[in-house]
Amino acid sequence: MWIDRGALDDVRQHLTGSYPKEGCGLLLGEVRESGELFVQCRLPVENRTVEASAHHRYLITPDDFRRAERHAKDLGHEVIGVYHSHPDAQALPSVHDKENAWPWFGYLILSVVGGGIEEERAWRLAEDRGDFIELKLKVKER
Amino acid sequence: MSVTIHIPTPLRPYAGNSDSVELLEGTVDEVLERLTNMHPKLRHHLFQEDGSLRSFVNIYVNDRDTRDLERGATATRDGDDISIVPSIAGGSQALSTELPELSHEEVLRYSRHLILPEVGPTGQRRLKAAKVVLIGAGGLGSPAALYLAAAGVGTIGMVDFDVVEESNLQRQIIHGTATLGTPKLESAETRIKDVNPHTHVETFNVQLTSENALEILKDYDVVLDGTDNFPTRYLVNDACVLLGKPNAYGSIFRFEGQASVFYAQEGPCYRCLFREPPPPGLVPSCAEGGVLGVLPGIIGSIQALETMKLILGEGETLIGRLVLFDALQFKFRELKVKKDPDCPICGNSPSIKELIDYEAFCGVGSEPVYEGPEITALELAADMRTNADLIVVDVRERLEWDICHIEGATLIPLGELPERLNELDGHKEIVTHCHTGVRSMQALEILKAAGFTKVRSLKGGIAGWSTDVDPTVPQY
Repeated sequence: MWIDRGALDDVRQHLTGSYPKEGCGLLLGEVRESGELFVQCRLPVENRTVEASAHHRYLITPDDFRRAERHAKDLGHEVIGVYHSHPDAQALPSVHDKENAWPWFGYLILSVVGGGIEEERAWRLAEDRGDFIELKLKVKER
Repeated sequence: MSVTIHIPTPLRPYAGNSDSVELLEGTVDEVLERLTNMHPKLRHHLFQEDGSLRSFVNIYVNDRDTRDLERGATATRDGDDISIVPSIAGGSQALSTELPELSHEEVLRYSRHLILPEVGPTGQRRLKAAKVVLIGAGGLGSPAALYLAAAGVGTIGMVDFDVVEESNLQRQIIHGTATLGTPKLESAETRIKDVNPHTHVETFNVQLTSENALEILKDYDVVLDGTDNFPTRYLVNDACVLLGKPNAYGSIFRFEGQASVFYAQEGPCYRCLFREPPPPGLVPSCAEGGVLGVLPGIIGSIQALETMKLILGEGETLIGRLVLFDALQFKFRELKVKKDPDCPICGNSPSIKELIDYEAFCGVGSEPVYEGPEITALELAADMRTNADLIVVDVRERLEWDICHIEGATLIPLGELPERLNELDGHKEIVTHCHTGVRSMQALEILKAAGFTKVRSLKGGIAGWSTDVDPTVPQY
């Protein structure tokens, strides 16, 4: 997965800011013929999970998703993935992540420990929904 | 005669890379069936193995969520737009560390679960990791606790502060004759440990209150409401909404029961259904109105079943549905319950942001208080021996009279009293009595209002008479 330097910086800023709660948002860009994802920018979305579980859960509602899709279209992009933080936990997909995952989407997970970024990893759900496959995260400098 | 179905980006590779497909109109289920017949690879991503939609797949017809319409049965018409809209969720517990392993012994014990694809080893480990708290270890909590423990729920919490009484045993099957007089939690824990020694039991021998509810419930995954009164029911509901927990709800009265799952994150809460409690005294409790044995076994088991489904993430739970059961007619009815956007706690702009005083909210303590002259059981016994003219009026119901009565008393149920005043001689001394002394005081009010002056009420009712005067009169 390629990500634009500016987009990655925006993601980092958002997720360190939402610590100790989970932050989440959508990745906008294009899917190339090869299937490779090119992230051009990010769209922060409100974490709609309830306050009490916001330190380890995130939720983007269908209404928010529809709004994001329209916004992406206006920019000439598509929604191609999701980013979220794992506060004080590794950047590995959880059971909850897997159960709720969409195919083809890139899942960018940032481990935020004590407010600082520890790890950044990208994942994509396998065809059979069995597991996540790690994607190499490549930063496109401007 | 067609509808357009819009495919979201992540699913397009499975739909020939197209962003929309034209299909023949029909119900949403029919249209999706046509879509997945045309593009079979989509099926796996849209549906679970049992054929139901995955929880994060939402179907919109034009601009409306079909969950607010008739779900799969929603009809579509020529020119409609159907959209597949993802909700996106996740969380941070890592895969490898989340679920506990099963011991060899546990594998044997749960083998009937392990061979079910919907449970399997992962589901059983989920049950083992799960923490369920039961509010009340009575009629509903009894079967629920036994079944959840047997099924392998790892941690069961229980909140109750009663002791086991004889009148509980007709339906509260977790307790027994051997545990009469002991705290219900001790009795229940012993029984649970016998059913399944792997179960970790946590007990809270307190009344659930606005002060302790959030602290007690916060570490549990599912709350099972088996309470018998409105203040606690609203308290449990509100605490669950504030903490974001699902509430497997049940209630019983006489021959009828209700069950549902209230989960504000995915559907309505108890207040969406019943905004306010009924006026105090309108709905009698089971102690006053009675309840058929076995009925709590049915409703409590439904609650336990829904709890299992919530933990396993399988099947269709009762979220958004209220089941009404009539045991005498043997009829189950199902009502759809919608989330109320104006709900004071889970609506769009909630007015309740913390736990309130539920006794006051439900009007408990504001019932009219009746006062009047009273007579003790011992005084009445003495008066009856010396005063042959004394009239003792039993204002209970005929059924209660048949259970036991005071020799020489006259039965006039409270509801019939205003029409039957002419049967009483106002020149004679009258003593009214009931079961424990509450209705008897209301009878005094009626008699005094009608001009009777020589009236008194038996303190403690026939229960006091049984204790102090005549132990051959059974307690009930």
